[in-house]
Amino acid sequence: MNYITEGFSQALGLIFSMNEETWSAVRTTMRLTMSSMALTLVIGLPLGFALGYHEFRGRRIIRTAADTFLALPTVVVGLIVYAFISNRGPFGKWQLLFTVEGMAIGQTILALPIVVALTASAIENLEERLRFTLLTLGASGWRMAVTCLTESRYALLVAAMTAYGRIVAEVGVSMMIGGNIKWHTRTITTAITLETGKGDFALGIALGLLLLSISFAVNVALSFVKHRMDS
Amino acid sequence: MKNIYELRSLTHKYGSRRTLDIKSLDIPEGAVVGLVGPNGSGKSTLLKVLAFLQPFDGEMQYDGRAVSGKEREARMNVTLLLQEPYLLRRSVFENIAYGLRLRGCSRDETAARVSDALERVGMPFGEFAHRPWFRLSGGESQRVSLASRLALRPKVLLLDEPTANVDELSAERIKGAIAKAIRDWGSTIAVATHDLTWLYEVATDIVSLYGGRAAGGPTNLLPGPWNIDEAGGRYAVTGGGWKFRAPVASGTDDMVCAAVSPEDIIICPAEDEGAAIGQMTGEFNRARGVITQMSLENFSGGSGGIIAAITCGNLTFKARLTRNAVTEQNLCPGVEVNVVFPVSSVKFI
Ligand SMILES: Nc1ncnc2c1ncn2[C@@H]1O[C@H](COP(=O)(O)OP(=O)(O)OP(=O)(O)O)[C@@H](O)[C@H]1O
Ligand SMILES: [Mg+2]
Repeated sequence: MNYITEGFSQALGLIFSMNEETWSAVRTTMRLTMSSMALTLVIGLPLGFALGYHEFRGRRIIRTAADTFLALPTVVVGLIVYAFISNRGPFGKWQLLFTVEGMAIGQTILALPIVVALTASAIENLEERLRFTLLTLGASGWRMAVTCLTESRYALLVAAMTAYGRIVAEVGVSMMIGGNIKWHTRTITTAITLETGKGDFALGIALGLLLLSISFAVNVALSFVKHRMDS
Repeated sequence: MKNIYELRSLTHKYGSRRTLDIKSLDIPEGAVVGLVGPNGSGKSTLLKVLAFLQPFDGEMQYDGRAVSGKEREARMNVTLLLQEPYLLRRSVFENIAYGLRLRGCSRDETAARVSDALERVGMPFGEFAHRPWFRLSGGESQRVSLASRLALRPKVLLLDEPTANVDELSAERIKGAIAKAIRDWGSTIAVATHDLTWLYEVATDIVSLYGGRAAGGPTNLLPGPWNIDEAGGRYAVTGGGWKFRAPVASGTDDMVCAAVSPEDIIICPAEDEGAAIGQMTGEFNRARGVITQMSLENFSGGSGGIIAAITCGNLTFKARLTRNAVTEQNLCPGVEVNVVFPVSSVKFI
């Protein structure tokens, strides 16, 4: 047990005397998760909205598919994206393998089902009374759609936070697509894997604490946003 | 007077269940129409059809034009306060301003109209305008919902049980706001309510609904089941054990519900029926009950007669009486009387 407590105290020391290499992993993580989130929301919100708002043939099937992909293992996504963007793959010419962009694509695929499924069910669960109320006030078309989105903003926030949780915590995609290249595609999670493998628990714990603080900061920011929305 | 709505052979279905089946219904411009009827009779559905929220079969004219029930433009002049109002998840001000913004009101105009609408429902602007939706009581929410409709100054204001689920004070404020809307803008109003006393005060017309059927004018519904006996006569046995007969008329009615007008109801002491019926001949239906309510009738252009409610078992009859009849026969609530009406006055709706 000693090595754990020792690890913790060393970790705190490491965090305060952060070296350039660790910083690089933190920066990569931030850049990666932000791009993945942006991409996920830009694609996922409209898709989920369309799925929840409109009645069309095949909607059930798409919903079921999205629900199934919720449980997609990260390594499977890593494998598939790898196959597509590696030199032999159909998108090989774009040279996305071992880049942050390539990792962002993988993470987006990972998080997309969450945003799509949760957005769709948030919109589906809006009350009929809301629709009628908006109609009786004279709304229609896109004004109505926009109001439906803003009315379900809490549920959408939860969708975004859940997706962020999945993105920030995953290691499979980052490892397989990014390759854990120092200064380049090494993220906090892949670094932890590496350091633990090397037996450097202190550094692993330090990185883990950093990752937690990032998540914490994001959540504080979002709850601040939620508070603002209430008043 | 011009009719703002004209409905002909209009039906509406939820799935395969028919919820409205209206042969003919006119609503004159500027009228205050009361919709009455038991739970599930189709009041809310009819209001939703009138508000262009529900597709229907048959014919409806709005403002002289045939409509299909999904008109966007007409919806700008017609608004409905739902039975269970819903507030948008924003402040009171934003709730009321929403419809005004859709209509392109300027900032100043919007602020002025919101403030006016709040005043109409008895809510001080300073106290309520910036409250979030979740810091309101049920009655306050109801009044904000009404205010958001009043701010639009609608040509047609449809109200679905606006005073249900609120206390007396809120109900008075709501009624006051509706009366003011009628006075200020001459809005046409259709209101579903169980508050009959109020209805008789403000309504210019009353429409009774039963099982999706509508009958104009204040009327007494005789819900079935109606049956045909061996001789071909039509009859229904009511909860009180009375057997009512109906004339065999066209033969095309489907006998869902019959009605008899309050004018055709004769009230008389049990022992003195002959005098009351007088020279009238033919067959009569009879029931025995107690006068439970008497109120002054206040239809615009009406007779100023007295409407008495007589409860006979699970049926309540409304009868239109003259002042003379009331004084001569010593009628007042609590008096036991016979309700008599000619079989020929029973009509299927
Ligand atoms: N959304 C719906 N789907 C299916 N059936 C419905 C729906 N809304 C109402 N109905 C049915 O339509 C009929 C008429 O309902 P409606 O709400 O118009 O009655 P109502 O006269 O307003 O009753 P209440 O006095 O209880 O408000 C009822 O039999 C009801 O069960
Ligand atoms: Mg109703």
